[in-house]
Amino acid sequence: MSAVVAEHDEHHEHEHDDHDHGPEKGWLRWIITTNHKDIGTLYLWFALVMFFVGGAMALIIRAELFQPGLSFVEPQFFNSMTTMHALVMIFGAVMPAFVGLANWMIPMMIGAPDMALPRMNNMSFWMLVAGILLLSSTLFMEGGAPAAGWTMYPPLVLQTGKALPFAIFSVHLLGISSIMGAINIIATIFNMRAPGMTLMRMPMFVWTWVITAFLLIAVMPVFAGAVTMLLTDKFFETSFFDAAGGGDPVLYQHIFWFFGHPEVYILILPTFGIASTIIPVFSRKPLFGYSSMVYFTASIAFLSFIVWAHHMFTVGMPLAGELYFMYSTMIIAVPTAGKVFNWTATMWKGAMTFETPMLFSISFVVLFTVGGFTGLMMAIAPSDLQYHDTYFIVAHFHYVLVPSAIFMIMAGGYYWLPKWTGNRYNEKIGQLHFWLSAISVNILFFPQHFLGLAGMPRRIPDYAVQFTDWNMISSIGGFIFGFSQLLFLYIVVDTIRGGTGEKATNEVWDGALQYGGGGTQGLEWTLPSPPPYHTFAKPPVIVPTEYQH
Amino acid sequence: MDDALSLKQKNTKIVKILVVVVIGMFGFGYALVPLYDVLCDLTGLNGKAKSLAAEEVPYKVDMTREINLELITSLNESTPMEFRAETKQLKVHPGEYYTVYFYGENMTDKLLNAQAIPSFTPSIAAKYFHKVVCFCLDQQIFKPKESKRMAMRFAVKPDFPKDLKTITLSYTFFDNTKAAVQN
Amino acid sequence: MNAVFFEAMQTIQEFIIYYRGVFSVKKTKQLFAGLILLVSGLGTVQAAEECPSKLMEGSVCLPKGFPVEPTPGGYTLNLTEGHTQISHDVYDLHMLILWICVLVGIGVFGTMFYSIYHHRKSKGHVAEQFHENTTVEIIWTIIPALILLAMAIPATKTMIEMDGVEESDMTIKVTGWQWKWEYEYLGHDIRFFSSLDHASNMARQLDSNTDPRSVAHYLLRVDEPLVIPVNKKIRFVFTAADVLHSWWVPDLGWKKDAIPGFINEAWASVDEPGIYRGQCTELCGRDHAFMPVVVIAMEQGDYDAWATQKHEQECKAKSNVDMSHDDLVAKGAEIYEKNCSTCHMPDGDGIAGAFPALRGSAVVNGDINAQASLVLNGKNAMPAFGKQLSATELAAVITYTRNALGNAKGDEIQPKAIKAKLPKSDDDDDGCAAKPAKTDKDDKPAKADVADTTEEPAKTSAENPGASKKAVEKPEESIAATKPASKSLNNIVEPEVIKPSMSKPNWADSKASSGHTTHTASRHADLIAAGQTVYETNCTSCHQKDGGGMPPVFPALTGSAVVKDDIKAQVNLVMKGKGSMPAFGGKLTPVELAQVITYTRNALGNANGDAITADQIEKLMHGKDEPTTETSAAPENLANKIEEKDLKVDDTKVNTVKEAKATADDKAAAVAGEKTLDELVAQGESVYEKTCQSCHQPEGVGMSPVFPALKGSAVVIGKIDAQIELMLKGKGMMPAFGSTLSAEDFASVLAFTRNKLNATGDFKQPSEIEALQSAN
Repeated sequence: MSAVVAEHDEHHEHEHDDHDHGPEKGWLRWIITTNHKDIGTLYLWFALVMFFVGGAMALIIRAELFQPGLSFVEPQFFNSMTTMHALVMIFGAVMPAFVGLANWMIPMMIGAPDMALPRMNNMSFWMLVAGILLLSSTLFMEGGAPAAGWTMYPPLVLQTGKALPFAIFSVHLLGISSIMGAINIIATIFNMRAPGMTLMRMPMFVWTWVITAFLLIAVMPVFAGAVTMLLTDKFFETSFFDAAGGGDPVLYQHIFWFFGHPEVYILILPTFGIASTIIPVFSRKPLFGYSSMVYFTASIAFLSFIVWAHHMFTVGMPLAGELYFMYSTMIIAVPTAGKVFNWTATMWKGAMTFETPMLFSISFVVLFTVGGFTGLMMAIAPSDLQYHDTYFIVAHFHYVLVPSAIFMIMAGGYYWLPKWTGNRYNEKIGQLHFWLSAISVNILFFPQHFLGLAGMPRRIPDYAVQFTDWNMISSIGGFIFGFSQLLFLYIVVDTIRGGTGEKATNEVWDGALQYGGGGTQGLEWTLPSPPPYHTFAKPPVIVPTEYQH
Repeated sequence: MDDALSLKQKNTKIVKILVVVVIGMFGFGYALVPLYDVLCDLTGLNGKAKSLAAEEVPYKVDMTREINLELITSLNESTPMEFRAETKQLKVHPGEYYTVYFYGENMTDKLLNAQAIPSFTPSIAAKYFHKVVCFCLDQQIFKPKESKRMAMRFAVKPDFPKDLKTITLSYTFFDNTKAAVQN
Repeated sequence: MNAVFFEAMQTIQEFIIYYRGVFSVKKTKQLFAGLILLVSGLGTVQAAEECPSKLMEGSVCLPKGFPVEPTPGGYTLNLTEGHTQISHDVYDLHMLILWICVLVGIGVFGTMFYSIYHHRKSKGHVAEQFHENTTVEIIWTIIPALILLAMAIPATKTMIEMDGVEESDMTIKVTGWQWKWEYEYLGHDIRFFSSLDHASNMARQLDSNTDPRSVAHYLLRVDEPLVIPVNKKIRFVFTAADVLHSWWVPDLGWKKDAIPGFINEAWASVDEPGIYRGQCTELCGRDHAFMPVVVIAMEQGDYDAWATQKHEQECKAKSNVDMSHDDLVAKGAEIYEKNCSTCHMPDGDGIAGAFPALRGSAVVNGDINAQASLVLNGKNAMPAFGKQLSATELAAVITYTRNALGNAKGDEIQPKAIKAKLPKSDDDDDGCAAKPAKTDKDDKPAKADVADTTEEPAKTSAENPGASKKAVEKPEESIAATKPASKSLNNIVEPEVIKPSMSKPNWADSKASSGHTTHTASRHADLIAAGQTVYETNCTSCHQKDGGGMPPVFPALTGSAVVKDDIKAQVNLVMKGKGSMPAFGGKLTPVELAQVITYTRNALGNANGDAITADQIEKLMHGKDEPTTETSAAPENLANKIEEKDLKVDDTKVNTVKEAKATADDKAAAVAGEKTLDELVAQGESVYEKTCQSCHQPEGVGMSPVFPALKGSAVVIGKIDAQIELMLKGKGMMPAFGSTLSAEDFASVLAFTRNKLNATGDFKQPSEIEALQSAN
């Protein structure tokens, strides 16, 4: 029942590599590379840099909100910060991080030599860089960066200065980049699985990503269309959203959230995949309810298309509309709760150890559930008329993005770092990073629930005096959280440079081989650490685990 | 797996399919615009009213019911006009035709192209409001300092839901001069 | 006592701000802040003196013993319970879901932590290898579904309750602006803007040096709160003027978006007097955080008192008394801070690239009237303040900008001058006469089209008493003059016959005193002035007011060859018609023809300098085709020449005219007996040919798309009253025939269109039309 990848002994692999082609020499390697591991590394580094850029913006926001009164920045700049923070974090940090993980891991998990479309892979990365640079350049433009929120609602967004067309074009670039990434992932998963790697044997990370990729393909073009309509409304006299010409600003919100709600799941589904990969390994127990996990994920993805207007309960929909979107949104709680129960059941009666990836995963399950609870509260339309556009919402979506998406990306980082580098990271500093992050993230976001309930609207640079105390606590939490992340940067650099000095074995984690895959062994753990530049040139032989379906 | 096709062919095929899906979804984004209008017509969503004049079809007048119609007027930000309803409130019987007048005046000494946008609450009322004449159907061109008395002729359809007793109809004038000049 | 103490503390606080300011900010800012303090300080003291309870919230004097709650403390944990039935229901719903979530959380996390504690490797626990259990999985899919169902029931109930805006006691229209709220009590003649209060606004500036904690209700106080009665169902209607906003008062239990061009509604019935505070909750730009909402709920009696006072205040504000230069500047500083400083900045420096500086600005230092126009009507991103501020406020702020912010023009503009530039809004007259009442009192008599057109001739000939009187007489005149004229349509001699009923003073008078020759007595200028009125009544619908016509259907008169060439030919054309141009020979009197023809030749961009008299026209009508045109005479000479024979119009003449008109009316009434449908239709045919055919075409086929067909027309087939209404009042290019057709002609043409062009079978008697005409 152990690794049966006979053909792939280390020696053979290296020989094979040497007289094939290794990486380019020098810096040019990173520009022209078509290797999935190189591109994965580029994506992950880029995401990490953007995480700090977006984080710095968040700290400007939290500093301004430390106490009432305008202390540091102009309101308009503050609005630019909230807008850019969101765009950078979503399109610059979280999505590229997932694509980076997908690039690194999907070929290794399904026994493919590389991504299906390697050159397109390179192009989509550099298009992402171009898009983000273009977006960042708006910060220095006359009239400032976009300040109408990442949702870019007209008519306000049309008041943006010179930055508007640049911001829209950057959204186009980012959209094209992620669509190309998604096409590549779908092609890889559909065409390049090793013989015997049936769909229902794929690791959950691969499953969640293929569903995410379909979501991306379905909704990114819609978003591109929506911002193009903004562009033509502003410069070419169309009136999609201008009431004067027979348009309707509310229509934008419908189109935007038709994209926006699936987009939220694009940010969370791969997270589920990583959790479903890590939790079994450290519980030394197979994932509970593999097939139901697949169905739950698919049904969440489907439901995400029919619930969009729950972001718009206050725009004045007819009663029937409000009720429909309330009911359909509530239904999402069923598959989501199912997933949480399955993770809990996976831990139940396991033999758990608590290395950093597991710590992050457990805190993910707990804090994501908290975010899910507030999500359920917000699904109740009458109550949402109180919660809407307050800090309660800010708290909710940060709970499902920071201690969920970001935590699981980091958990994935800790989990696979020894595989990528061949070195073990410093577990003590890793755990310190976890505890600092997990505690400070709650200091940061939990009080925001109270602020929202007490009546503090979101996207404001200054607030009434009674909101001071919780804002101060939140800001303190924010700064602790922000600076704690430098530990992660340290660990990554340190591990690449040799880490603890202990070399990682092929399996790295006790049980990773057995429990780290889906219906098969975790294929990436059959490879050496670090894996050679080219892997699975010849497909591995897939041996199903005994619990496969 | 299908061995008949090489990996490259299979990849090309899947890329082709997905590119078509992407283009289709981009188009779908645009298709949402007319779909939304259809939805608005069907459900009265957002109180958006059709901007077409209807034929004056005779309805059976329901004298037993009286609906309170409120007419409110607004001007979008920089529309330099005076605009008000001559009658701000009236009781109407479903099925009967009424004509009401609005007063509009251009406050500038320049030509003004303005468009009035109707909106209803409850939004469902848009569906039952039968307009045969309305100044909102076309752009109104005001000569410098010109004032106009503008008519709106309508009937509330007799099948207007029984439980509703008030209709608020709002008109907002938007300044379209710039757009009109460019066209 | 507390309130006095509070006021005093606030004043001290403001002085501290002021002195801090002296030492820390630039000189202009000191001046600015100083002015503000002065003005607002005075304002507060004054207002407080008028307020018996000495308890103020913004501009509202609260009744004695009103519950004024202090700023709430920090560390609030839960949702506000609010003060409406809906907010209670929402709160209960919130608590229900919260507790369900807490229980589910305890279950899940409890299990997880039990497992984490007991099933760990370090404790030697050996992992079991189970990995699925269909029964368990189905159970934990069904249980959440049932819980959700239990939640959905009360949620649906509350939602339906919120939706029920019917049967409200009053309606308030709320308009969101960048960055203030406008409230309009529909049917109550109360309308005002509500923006962030002065103290908060000062403290919130980036370099203010004021601790917001020292400002009462920082950012949650406005200058003009919304006041509502308790226990009344109040319906709110929302819209926005620029971008999206959202109106939220947590105590009311909901928020609603304000969308430009669209309206939304919601309702609230507050069960307890109090001051309820909220904010804008939809990102609306730079000062989104600084547009709070304050609602004061009062007992009905207190509310009524407030409403009366507010109403009087608004009326007073409209009276526009002149103010001294210093008062204007002082008041202007306050207005500037509230309305302008956000974009043009408190010191008038603007924001480069976005908002122009006012300091040293060409507009501010240029013509005061040009600046006023810009402020009133807006330009690009600058909103039209004519609709947001009162005349007094506008005068003050314009004067302020010219005499502060580094400018020193030294001039001023008075509210009255601004008033003249503002629209004559309907609040001007009706609202202020009476106390505000529940019912809508705005049913002003409809302004007739004819009355509108008289305004301009009155203006143009203001220096000539004769002409202006004529203009005033015009509406009656046109009725009296055209009724008999249209009765016998083809009778060219008709003008002679109906002369007594002619109300044109110089015509009637000249006839009586000196016979035909005196027709030339009409002064050139007089002719033109009167011609304009005739032109507007008879020609504008096709040739347009400015003579631009509507090519290719209607030729322009401006620069037209016909108008420029031989006057005789033009007279001929006007009298006999051509193409779609009707023959006016039978419709207009010789005087009117002379007037309108002279007008076209000397106005509308033409300047032939010639004229034609009624005499000459009459000669043409009688075939004596020898008009002596006066083309040779230069306009001045002509004017001089006519001057000699000018007839003075005095009051007695006007009286004569009125009597003449009365006789004509009687005659018309006598003639209008009962008619059969066939008679009417037969008669209507000729009226149609003369009056309607030029546009609606023979057989009523119309000229799509300009002139609708009458055959099968919804209007003609529809309700007869609607058609009468349309014919009486006109619509678009269709002239109002209420005063230009006699009752008999009107009834006959009505019958003709409905029974010859269509077949509705119904008609109206001339007597019925007569009644309608006079009602109009």
